[in-house]
Amino acid sequence: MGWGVPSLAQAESPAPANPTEIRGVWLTNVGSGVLFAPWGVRRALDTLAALHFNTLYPVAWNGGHTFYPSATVKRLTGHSQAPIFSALHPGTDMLRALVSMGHHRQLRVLPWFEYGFMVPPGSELVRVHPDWLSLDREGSPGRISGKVQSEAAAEAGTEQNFWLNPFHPEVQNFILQMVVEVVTDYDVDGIQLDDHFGLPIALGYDPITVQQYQDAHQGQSPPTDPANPEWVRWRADQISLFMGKLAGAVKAVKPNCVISISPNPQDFAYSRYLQDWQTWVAQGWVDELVVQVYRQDIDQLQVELDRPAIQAARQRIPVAIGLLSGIVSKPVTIAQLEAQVDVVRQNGLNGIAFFYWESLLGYLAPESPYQRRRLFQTLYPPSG
Amino acid sequence: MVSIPLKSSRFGFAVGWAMVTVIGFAISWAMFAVGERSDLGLWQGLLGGGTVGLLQSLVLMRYGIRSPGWVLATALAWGLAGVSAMGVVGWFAPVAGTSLLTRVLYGAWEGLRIGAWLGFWQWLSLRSANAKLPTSWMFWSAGIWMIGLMAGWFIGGELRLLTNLFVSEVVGLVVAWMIVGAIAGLILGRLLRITAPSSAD
Repeated sequence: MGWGVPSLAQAESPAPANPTEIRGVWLTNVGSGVLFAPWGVRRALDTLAALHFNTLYPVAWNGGHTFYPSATVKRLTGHSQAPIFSALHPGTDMLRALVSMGHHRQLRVLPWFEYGFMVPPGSELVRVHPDWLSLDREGSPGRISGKVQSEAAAEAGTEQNFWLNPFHPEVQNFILQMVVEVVTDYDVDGIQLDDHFGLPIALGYDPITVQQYQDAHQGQSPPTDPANPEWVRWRADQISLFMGKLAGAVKAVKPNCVISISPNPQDFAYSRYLQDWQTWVAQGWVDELVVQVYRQDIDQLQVELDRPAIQAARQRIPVAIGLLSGIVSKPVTIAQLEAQVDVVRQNGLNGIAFFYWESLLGYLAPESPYQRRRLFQTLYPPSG
Repeated sequence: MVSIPLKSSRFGFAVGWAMVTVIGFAISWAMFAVGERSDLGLWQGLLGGGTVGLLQSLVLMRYGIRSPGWVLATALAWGLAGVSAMGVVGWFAPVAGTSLLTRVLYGAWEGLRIGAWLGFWQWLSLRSANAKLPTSWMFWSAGIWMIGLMAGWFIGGELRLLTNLFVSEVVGLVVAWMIVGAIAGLILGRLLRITAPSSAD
């Protein structure tokens, strides 16, 4: 039981085709036991396959650690993956097992680089490379307040994080190597970057970024107002350029690898996180978009679905919606979930991804796992 | 494995019993989820009961009690409970919205029933063993499960009111199994000591 070493039959399972309706779930290490319990993953995948889900987004990068043996991270920190994870699964490559088990069950597996440029202050990476951190106007790595980030992030403690400087060539190289090693070493169907593949607008005043800005502006320093439209645009463009570079590197290794992103709605992502994903889609760097719309109010959900950026993206690539199936402090009932799924489907979008396993079909929900499963028995017929 | 004479053990048996009982319950989560009464039936009872029974039989063996029928009896007791009106009581929670008073009252009633039923099968399984249980064990078992389930369902209900999360019920059931394991370990040890072999094999 448990992770185990995948059997040959499992290892040889072909990768599933891209689905007509994305039915996805995020598997996270925060507030979740699925990746840690010896039987967690196998049971979760069995359940998801039985309920006709087709896509998994397992965490690959969180809290300054990877959840697969990473040569890139080991060179820097000495740890090839999260220490607690290694201790609980000695000698097991979780990602390899998960890909194998997923494919055996016709589930696409897209490792999710959840933290993007975000790192915890106490992490080994920060200790080794304080020069990689992005700084605010006061020259501090500035812990970003919960106001900027989502409630889910606040619960996960991510509002207390530092941010790697996305304009620093070494940081870019580090992130690029990490993503490419996953694409190279694993039979993954794609990779996913989320709302942390950006930078809070308060940051970007470190010497390297300032120098880059001055080089591009005849020696002029960046505006002191972090929300200055030109300053926001310039930083967002630099991140976009890196996104293009990353997409190119991934496709060079594996042309069919799906590049999925799961950002916040465009206006928020751009104005708060310098994440101009609309441009990424327009440039053809993204194959699948999963917009996080964690709104419980149906009218608000509809407003977000009507946004021009989503409508424009739908003309080019599959667009799914990320729905919050609950967090510990805010459980979501079956009725709420069903209503949200209905709205997304009525709008003709290409599917839904749920954040996250434990609150969707595990115990961190108002109802029993059996009651939650019965909902999906009716929602998700075998096709799709 | 060298067995320990039960007569020379004061609390070791009880501690071991409590531990394996709770661990057995936890291991059963690998096979199926905790739910509500209608979610669980024969298979869950057989698997869950079999797991708990298997671990308990290791403790019996450790104390020199040969009990070949214990695992089967425990599995059958829970499995048959699953297809009866009783249900797989140790693995289900009252439906959402059940008041705390109702939880305590139903916990008492359901606990009495499953405890007596389980006690009967356990008594039966040891009839041909080298240590025997008196018929009073069935009453003890009923009382133990009554206390355990009352407490567990109450705590689970309180927590569920506070959190609105089903995991509260799982916590409540863990408490129930801890209480059952601990008290049963003490009483079972005392009762078995009367007829247990006086020296290790």
